[in-house]
Parts: sequence; C-alpha cells; structure tokens
Amino acid sequence: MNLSDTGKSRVNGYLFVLERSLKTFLPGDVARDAVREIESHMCERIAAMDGTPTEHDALEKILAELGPPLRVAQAYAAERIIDEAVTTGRLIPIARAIWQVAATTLMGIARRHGSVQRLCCRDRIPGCRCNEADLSQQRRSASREWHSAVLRSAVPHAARRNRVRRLLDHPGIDRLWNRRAGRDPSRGSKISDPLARARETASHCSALGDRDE
Amino acid sequence: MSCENWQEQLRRGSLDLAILLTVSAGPRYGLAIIQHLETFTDLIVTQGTIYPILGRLTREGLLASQWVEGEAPHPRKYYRLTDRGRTRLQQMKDEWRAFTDKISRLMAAAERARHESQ
Repeated sequence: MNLSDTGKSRVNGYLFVLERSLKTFLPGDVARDAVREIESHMCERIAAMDGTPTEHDALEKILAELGPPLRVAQAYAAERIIDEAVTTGRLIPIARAIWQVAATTLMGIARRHGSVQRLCCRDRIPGCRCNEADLSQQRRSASREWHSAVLRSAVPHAARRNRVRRLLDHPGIDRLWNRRAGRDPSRGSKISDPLARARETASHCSALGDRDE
Repeated sequence: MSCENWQEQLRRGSLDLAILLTVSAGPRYGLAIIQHLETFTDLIVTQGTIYPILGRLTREGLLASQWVEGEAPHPRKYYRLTDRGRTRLQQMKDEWRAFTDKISRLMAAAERARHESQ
C-alpha cells in the first residue's frame, strides 16, 4: 500500500512525537536509532496492508497495535534508565533513575489518590471512641499501605520494583546523598530522613505489598 | 491483586525468555519477532513495547543487532543471540522447567487433598 500525503503526515506526526519524547532522556543517536526501527516496523506493516478497505483504517490499526508514541517512549525510559543505574552504579544514571521514579511516583500519587484518603477512623467517623494507641496503629498501617500503593503505582512490574530496591541499597546512593547534603561519609554521618523513608517504603512493599498481591 | 494484574506480571516476566527463544533459531528483525510471538503466544499487548526490551537485551549483551539494507524497500534491524545470550537462555529454560514442575506438583497436591477431603 502506498500512502497518500495525509497518511504520510499521520506517520510523520507519530514519529515526530516519539522522537521528541525519546530525546528528552536518551542520547540523540540512540533516540534516532529507536525511531528508525519503529519507522521500519511501520513501513513493513503498511506494505503488507493491501487487504484493508481504506488507508485511514489500515493506518489507525497499525498505530493502535504499535501503541501511542508516549507509551512507547515511556517503555524505553523505564527499560533504559533504571537498568543503566543498576548496572553502572554511576551517580548521574542513579540520579536520573531516582528522578524517573520520583516523577512516575507523582503520577502514582495522583492515580492512587483516594485509595487511602484518611489515615485513621477518627478522621472519618465523627465521635470515634478509639484510644490513642489504636489510632496510632491505624495511622501506621494506613501509612504503610499508602507507601506501598505509591511504589506499586510507580513501578507496576514486580521484577522492576526489586531493581528499585537494589538501587536504593546501592552504595552510590549514599555517596550521592552525602555529597548533596555536604556530608563526609567517612565520619559516619547518618543517612537523612528522606532516603531512609524511601528505603523504608521499598521494604514495606517487599514485606507487605508484594506478598499481598 | 486482580487476575488481570497477575496475568500481566506473568506475561511481562516471561517476555525476555520468549524473545530469546524466538531468536535462538536464527537472526530475526523486530516485526518478525513480534509476528512469531503473536503466532505462538498472546504475550504481546502493545507491539511498540517490544523494541525497548530488545534494546535492553542488546545492552545486556544477550543479543547483537545489525541494520540490513537492500533486503526490503526499507532497512531492517536484525537481532541474533550472542554466546552470552545462549548461555543465559539455557539457564532460563532450566529455571522455567524447574519452576513449572514445582507449581505442577503443588497443584497436583492441592487436587489430591481436595479429593481426599470430599
């Protein structure tokens, strides 16, 4: 099947969006290679689409099966960044991976908002008669559930969550954090709260969330 | 966890093995890998997400890739298994068989227990 100008524009638009998305986190040559491969896939599919009644239907089917460009780009991001950080242990890839996880965690928070709206029943039920110990237990439990939900939203693939946990345990994280906070790790300074909380979140998931799934 | 989520995790977890098996017979390009997987499995939901996995397997040294021009009206990127990939594939196949054996034994034991209790 030979594409009309409209069809070519549709294909070019898809590739343009994909390339722009990929270039935000991939080196230029890697992004171009990825786009070239997707373009090759589309050309192959278009050439084989002789039986479809209209060009529009054929093209939409091909693009739907390929997936939206942002989703394809997101798949590249997820595969690339976290793996790079885990395998190299270098600070910049680790920082990028943390940013990636943090950014998707924000989406996770937005998506999961409402799943744990209230921390304890006193916040939900007027006149609740729970004692302080019960309320404290409820808050801890809700907090664990919330953290677990956030990490599961951010990193839906269980194997990749394990990689994130390994990443958080990587010595490079300590170096990065101590450098960022201007601390000397040789003096035995403690890891600050945010990083400890991230590790706690990962261990909550490991101990509770994944088993619950 | 819903059944759909569980299926999704199972599907994703086995995609690496499925891709390595697909290219173990000889070099294939992206669309040929996808078509092969679609013929024998329902592992692929979104075709575009296979390419990032191919890229990762290449970076890990399990696959080697090469652009080939002139074979078709457009260039094709072929993937072939490396020696390291062949070793990894064998490990994954062994692990997969051992895993399915364990689950089968568990299922058989559960069935037996159910019959005995009836």
